Amino acid sequence: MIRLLGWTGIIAALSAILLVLAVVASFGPPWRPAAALIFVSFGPGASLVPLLGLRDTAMELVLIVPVSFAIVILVAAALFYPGLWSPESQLTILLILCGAGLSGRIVQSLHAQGTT
Amino acid sequence: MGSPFLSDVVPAVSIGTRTQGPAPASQRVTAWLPLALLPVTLLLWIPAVRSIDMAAVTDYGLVSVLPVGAWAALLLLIASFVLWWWRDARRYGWLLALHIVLFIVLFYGIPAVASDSLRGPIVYRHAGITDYLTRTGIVNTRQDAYFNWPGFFMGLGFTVEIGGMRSAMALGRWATVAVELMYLPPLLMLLRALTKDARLLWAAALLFFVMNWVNQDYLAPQSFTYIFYLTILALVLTYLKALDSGFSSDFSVAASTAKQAGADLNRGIRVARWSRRVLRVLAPSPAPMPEGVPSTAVGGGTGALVTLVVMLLFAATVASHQLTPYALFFAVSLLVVTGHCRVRGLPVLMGVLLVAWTIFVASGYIDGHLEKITEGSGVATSTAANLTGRLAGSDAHVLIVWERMALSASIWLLSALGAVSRFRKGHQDHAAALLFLAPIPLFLLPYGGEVLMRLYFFMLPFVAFFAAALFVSNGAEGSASRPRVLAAALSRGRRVLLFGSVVCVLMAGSFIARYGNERMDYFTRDEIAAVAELYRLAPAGSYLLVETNYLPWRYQDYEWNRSDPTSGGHRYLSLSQQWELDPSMSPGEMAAWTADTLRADPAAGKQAGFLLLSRSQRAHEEILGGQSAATMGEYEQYLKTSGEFRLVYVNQDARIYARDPEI
Repeated sequence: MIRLLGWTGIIAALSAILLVLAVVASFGPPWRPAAALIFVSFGPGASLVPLLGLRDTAMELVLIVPVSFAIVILVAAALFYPGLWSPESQLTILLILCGAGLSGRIVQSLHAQGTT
Repeated sequence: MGSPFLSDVVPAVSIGTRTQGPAPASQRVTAWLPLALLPVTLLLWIPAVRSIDMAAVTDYGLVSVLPVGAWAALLLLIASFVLWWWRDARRYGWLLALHIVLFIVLFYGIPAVASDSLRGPIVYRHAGITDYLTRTGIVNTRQDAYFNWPGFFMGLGFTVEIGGMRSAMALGRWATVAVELMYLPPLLMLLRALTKDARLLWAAALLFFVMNWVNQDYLAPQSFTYIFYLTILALVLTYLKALDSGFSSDFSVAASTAKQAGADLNRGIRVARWSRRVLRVLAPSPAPMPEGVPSTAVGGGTGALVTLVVMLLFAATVASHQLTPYALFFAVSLLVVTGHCRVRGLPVLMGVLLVAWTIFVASGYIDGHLEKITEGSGVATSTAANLTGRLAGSDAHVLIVWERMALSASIWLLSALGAVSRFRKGHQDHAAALLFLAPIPLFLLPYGGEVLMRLYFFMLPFVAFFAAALFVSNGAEGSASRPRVLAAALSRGRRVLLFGSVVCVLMAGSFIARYGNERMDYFTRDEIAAVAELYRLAPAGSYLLVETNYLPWRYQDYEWNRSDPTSGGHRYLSLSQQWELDPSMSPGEMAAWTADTLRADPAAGKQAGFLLLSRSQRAHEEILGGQSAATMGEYEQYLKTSGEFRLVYVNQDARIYARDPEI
């Protein structure tokens, strides 16, 4: 799994699973707020940044948090202005984005394994 | 490394350690002994900060009550940093990062540990905006300026709601420490793009956090968009920088293609030379890059993807804050014009996004405040609002304001000296110098009395870079002859001592400047309880009046609907605003105005209003030079004797008066 997703991919997947569990099971504080903060800070960025192919681990790690924040803000804005916003709708879109990023990562890894 | 995070960074001069075979075990243990200083700093800091009596803070701010233990912890931490920095900045990079992390906690975490409440009134207001957005799902751009750049609050609202938190205030207490910690990684990347000298990089990183006194790092849009600011500049200077020898490479490619195709080589070369001349006319030549920056410049698909990421971060910035996008726009435009960034369309893309947002989203605010915006622009207005206008208030406060100005001027002077020294030594720090200057046009924008602090904030990474350069020598040290080695070591020793001393002085100055308003920025439990009681008592649509807008309120019922007051929210008013409109009003006249303003009007659906007077408001007026205690005492006496008000709530730090609905 680590070979397919990389550490960042694993972090993204775990943060998403943790948050979905916390929401579905209605965990109280501090678990649910912590899960939300972890996902918002790392989830989207950790799933998408490795796709950039920067070949610089340090820069990839640095980008995770800002990219996550930016995606959370822009998805929220895209839902608020047409009046479609709800926490659940935003979470669904973010999970889809994370899923897409992780799928891209798997395809990249399989492609790389196939070429070596 | 030391720090795998910065594996490209090398030391300019090898300091201290000599790697000639493994050292004996006892020597290895001794070498790591200074690490014991770190837990000692914590042992000193925790009890000292927990013993702070925030109620005893004077107009000099937190410095008036800070125990010796807290000072000792901060000074010891700086001493420990300087020690490891002197030994080998590259090898101990991870340790220097640990010191900076600890410094952030110890310096910026003091209010979170010493006080029960969130610091300053703005965080409460931001919680109210977030609550309004998530509760209603409506973005009313005419409500106030915040709703024209609401991206940050929308993202925060999602985090609060999906995290099952009661309010964004749950995140406020440690937000400053968290935000400062989040600045560190992109700051290191930015510095890495400016220099390969590990000592300069770590010294600049420490100075950045030591000199950041401007209080723009709480739960607020500007603090989070600053993460984007640092990241975008790091990306542009690393991945989108001008490709070295771009034109000569065009030339070689053209020549080799012509040769391979078996065509006339001379003709191929002539074509390549001609295209090179045309390109030179159309575009500025690539600017000199600092020596030895990591060679990560990439083209093709990755370059396009990085540009996309830059625009993604910029779009989030545009949606969240008024000023940061302009700082970025100026910075990136300068880098493109001077040939430091090869993506020439980047400023155009940024400009289009900025204009589009202003026209299609923020027009609601701009239409309604055009006069205010034009009046608030310009050098004279900004100078008055940021400098001369701030030199008012109690004697202690005026002294603090002078200290802030002197501190900022000294820091800028250090930085200017460092820049001169770097350029004289032949370092090509053009990018850093340009980014130092890029935020200056912001001073002309209509941003009230805070624009100078924002300007300082945007300049800070580059100010820190050049200031640090004063203490890092890149001369021909380390030559073979013994006397010269000794002289170099002595010179290094002096420089290190000087650096440590300057950092300690700057830290003390920065502490006084940063926490100079703490008497009014701190809210007691009684004040928080009084505001909660106010919201419990006040029906929807009622008018809420205070002495001045400096109290922990507006974290709920943020909105106000003039046409239908009962639909929710409150009308928030202050006596200081009224006194600003008509300074000639006597306390008696102000009491009459209060009675009239808070009077019930059943026909218009308006309920009787409330007045809340509290300690922090009084502190604000005393510190910044508002109405005197005697005037306010007289005013309150008029209220009491008028028979139109009832004192409905009182505690040690606050009083709530309710307007009698029958009179």
